[in-house]
Amino acid sequence: MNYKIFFIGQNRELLNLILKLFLITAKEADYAIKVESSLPENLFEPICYIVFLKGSEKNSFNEIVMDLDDMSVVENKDFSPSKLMINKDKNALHYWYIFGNLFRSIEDLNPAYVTGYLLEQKKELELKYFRSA
Amino acid sequence: MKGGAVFISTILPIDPMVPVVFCRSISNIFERFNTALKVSEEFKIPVMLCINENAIHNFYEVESVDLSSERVSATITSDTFKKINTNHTLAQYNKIFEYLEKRFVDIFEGDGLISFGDSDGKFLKFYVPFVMDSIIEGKTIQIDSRDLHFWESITKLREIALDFYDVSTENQRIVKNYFCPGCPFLLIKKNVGFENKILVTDINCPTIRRVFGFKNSTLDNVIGFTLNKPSSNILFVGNLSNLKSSMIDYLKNFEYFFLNDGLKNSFGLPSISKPYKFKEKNAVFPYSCENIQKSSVLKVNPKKCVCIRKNEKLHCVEGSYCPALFENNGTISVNENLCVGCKLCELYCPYGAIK
Repeated sequence: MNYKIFFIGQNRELLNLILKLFLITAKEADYAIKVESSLPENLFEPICYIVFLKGSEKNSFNEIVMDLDDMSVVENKDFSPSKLMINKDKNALHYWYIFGNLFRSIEDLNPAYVTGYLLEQKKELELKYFRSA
Repeated sequence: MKGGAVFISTILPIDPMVPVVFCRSISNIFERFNTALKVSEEFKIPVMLCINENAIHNFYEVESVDLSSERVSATITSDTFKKINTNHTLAQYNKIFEYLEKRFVDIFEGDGLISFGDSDGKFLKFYVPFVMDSIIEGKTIQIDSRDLHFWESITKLREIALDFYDVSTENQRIVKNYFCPGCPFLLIKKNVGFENKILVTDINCPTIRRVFGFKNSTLDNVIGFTLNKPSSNILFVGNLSNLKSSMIDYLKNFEYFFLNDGLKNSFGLPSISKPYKFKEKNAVFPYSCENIQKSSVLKVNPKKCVCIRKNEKLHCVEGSYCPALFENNGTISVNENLCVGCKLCELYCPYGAIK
């Protein structure tokens, strides 16, 4: 399957970390990967990454929109705090919950690398959110 | 010229008069730069290297890194420049085209719609003025709306017929408009209004240009423009540090707001004391985009916050474009890390829920 995944969020540091972990996981699952982004106009505009995962020779892509902070104008969001009925956390811990949900919709991906990373960094709270998805 | 000169730019050149080498992916940046440098050295002509601003993200794998070309020391002195001989230059352009065609094999790369912004689309590998015009002439090509200015500038001046297709729906913005919390422009808009005004600023913010249609121009230009024809329709918003004492006499020709970027207001212009509520025009705003003041964080009274329950539009979020406001549990919440207490959302809330 081919996937086109939108990552939209405001906490840039955390989003970059999540994207990095996701790309490594996707690479391990033998996907061909391409990342695109648009430059944000000001410091407070949410950042938007588009990740293309190519696993088959078809030219169609399954679109998955991950609106981590409910900041996009896309109507049919797949994952967002309002759709998943969760509260936005002050320290953006809900990112990990939504990230965990992404692994459920792409079955080829193995969350072992992300869990391993979080265990190594002793980020227990993040791991709890990630696993609860 | 004695040495090579490569101009590196991230935007497409408008009416290019020198050969241009395009680079859309970081993986072939070395190859393209070396080619540009070689062409410039060999034919004694400056060459432009145009790198896509998303090139850093179009990263697959660096397949080949060719650093074999010798280093050229800077040799630009007054005698490196000579008078331009048009015939000679045109002959050089022909040679450059032959060289680049041999080097790149094909003048296009990629498939599909012609697009510089999308790394998958079809686009020129290089462009040589005059020589290549006949090659791209009469072709039916679909282009991305982001590249429209580039193709228009070429076709306008060189009489080349091209068919334009607007494929802009694919590139719509998917993120809502957000401004910096406490943005001075939004407070000026709320208190004074931007209706029926020609808006000019010398602050380089793409968001205010796109959303409100501000034109970028310096204060000198605005003064020159209104010198013989004073107009109260023109509203200039700029930094106070760009104002010089010699300009004070000409400020009466248009409306203005100066943002105080750390200097003393020594020109005797009226100052605004309460940035969230003022009626003064032609005054100095207490802070600028660089030093937005932070005061106490605003709080929402959940009993009075009824927009979501009544299924109305969110007056505070839509009016203030503030990234600190978000929906939570059927009410509006304020992100304490982002809120600067500018009270703009308070002004927009019709129910008095934010205090």
